[in-house]
Amino acid sequence: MNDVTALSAEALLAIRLSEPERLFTGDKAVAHQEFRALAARWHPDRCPDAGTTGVFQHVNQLYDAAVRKLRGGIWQMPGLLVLRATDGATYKIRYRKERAFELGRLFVGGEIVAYVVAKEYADLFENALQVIDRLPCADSRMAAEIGGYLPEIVRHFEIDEGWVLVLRKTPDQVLLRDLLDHCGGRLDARHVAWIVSSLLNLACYLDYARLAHNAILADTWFVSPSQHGGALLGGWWYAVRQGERMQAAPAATVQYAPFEVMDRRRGDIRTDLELIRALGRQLLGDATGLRLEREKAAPRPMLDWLRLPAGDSALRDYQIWTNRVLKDSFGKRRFVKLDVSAEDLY
Amino acid sequence: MGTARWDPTDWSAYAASTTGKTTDAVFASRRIDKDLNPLGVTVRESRDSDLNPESTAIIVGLDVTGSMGMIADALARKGLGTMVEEILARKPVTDPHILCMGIGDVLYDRAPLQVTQFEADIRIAKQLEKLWLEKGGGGNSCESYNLPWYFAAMHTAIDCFEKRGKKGYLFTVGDEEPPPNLPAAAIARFLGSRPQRDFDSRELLTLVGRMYHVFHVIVEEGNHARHDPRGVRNRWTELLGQRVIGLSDHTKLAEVIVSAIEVNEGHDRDNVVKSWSKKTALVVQRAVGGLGPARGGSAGVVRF
Repeated sequence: MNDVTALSAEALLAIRLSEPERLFTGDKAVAHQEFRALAARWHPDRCPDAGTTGVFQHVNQLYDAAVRKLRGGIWQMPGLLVLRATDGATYKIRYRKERAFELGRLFVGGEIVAYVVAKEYADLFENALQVIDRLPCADSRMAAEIGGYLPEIVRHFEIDEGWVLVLRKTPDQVLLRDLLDHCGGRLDARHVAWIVSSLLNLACYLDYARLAHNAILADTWFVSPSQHGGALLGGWWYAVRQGERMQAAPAATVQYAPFEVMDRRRGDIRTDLELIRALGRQLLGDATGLRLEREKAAPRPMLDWLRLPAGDSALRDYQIWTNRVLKDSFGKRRFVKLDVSAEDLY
Repeated sequence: MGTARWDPTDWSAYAASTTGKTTDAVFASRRIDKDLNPLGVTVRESRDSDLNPESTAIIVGLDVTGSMGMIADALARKGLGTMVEEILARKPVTDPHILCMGIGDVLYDRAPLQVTQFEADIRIAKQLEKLWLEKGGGGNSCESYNLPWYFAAMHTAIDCFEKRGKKGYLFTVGDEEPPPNLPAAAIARFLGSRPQRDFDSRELLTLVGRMYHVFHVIVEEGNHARHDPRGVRNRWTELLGQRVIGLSDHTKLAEVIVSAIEVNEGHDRDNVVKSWSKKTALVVQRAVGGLGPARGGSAGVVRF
């Protein structure tokens, strides 16, 4: 039990209602004891000092928030997430960074990523499990080539508040959004080029698998700055087989997907190819593409490719990109070091 | 451009000046005006200003082939005034900046695209008057309605989207079918830029749809639409889905455009229809009956 009675009124009032973990222990019985101790200290009947009522009300609200969190199965401390599954099991996840995403929250750890998805998106969560479980590979060579790009499920379980999916990642991989933020909102064109190359390689696999992922975004793609690789860990909630009806999509996908696809709402590889282009433009500093030409953000062939619409074949897109666009933009291929590591970001 | 503010008295004076004039007198150009020639234009800009701090780009592309000059005529005499004043009064979007285009056929016409600046005041009417009603077109059942799409996507810069992520609006208006493609050679000839390949219309729609809500208005009084109404409608619907608008009375184009913007922005469709006088409401009802609000936003998840 924490010695909560030692805290001053100012210290208590400084605790936000969204962070009851800063005051209470993550155990229902212990938290109750702590609350009783606080009530004994701050109840206006026992402490007639000015302002006591406000402190007591705040403590009450913090306790209510703590009870709600404990009931929901999520208890979060700096760098540590404690999740209580509906089957009674408890999981502790160490994380370096937390982010909100459109279905819930994302926790980036050293070797795992945990997605906590709100209850109302149960169908999308289930869809992700099924799609990931059925990702095809023609042979061991393909598995070796493409496996690193794809998610590997460590664990998934239900909590009262929703659903949790834990995926494996390598320690050097960072969320592309975090890398972009770290670099001030734009990357050098040469780094954008290798990221786009990885994404197009993955798109060829998705096309082979007859899938449309529908959410290739800075919030779903993890990159390895040292290896120039990446993994598509997020967004599988929206993946469907090509031609199948889409259930949902992030707003960004609706923004950039082909008009016709959004009208018919069917899985289509062109959506992924358009999203890769949009991501390329975003990494250069402007997803709309309007400023890139004025600012000469990249060589002209690369800018033209990123701005103009995608074709309908991932393989053809990839061939044009590697054989023409990269050569015309940068000449002979060479490795360009990106001097950022996971430790710099997290 | 678009740094001034709409003044209804300017408009009244302008409208009075067109009274009694024939279409040929209002639209006196007999060749493309250099101010409207898109050849070599890098970019047409819709920028925020002190008077229009939250500008919204609205493009209206008018078919000027054959008898379609009647659309430009109606817009110049009354429509533009109605459009701007109703948008300012109803506020479906903020601070409208309007750019008008003249549309022809890249295969047959000398000026298949004419482009004004984005303007927020009476200058748009004066530029519209400069349109050359070429009255061309050919026997191919379509006009180059996709050339404005390419121009808007590659040669406009709009603050509503650039600064606020809000798409502009692009309406093409005519009586013929959509063209299947746009040859790179035509882009080079009429705009001066040299894309690496031809584009089909679906690709161009994807391109322009990143930045604009795109609609097509079928002028049902036009010769081609009267001859094959179902065919024209079907061909457009295959391409644009619900964003195809039937216009049964060309003098109500402005009201229909304002209504389409309102519905797209989430205003209740029935209330929008009822907001007009009885005769106009009938035209608007028929025009926007199939429209719904735009999907999506800048964040979150969209359920289908």
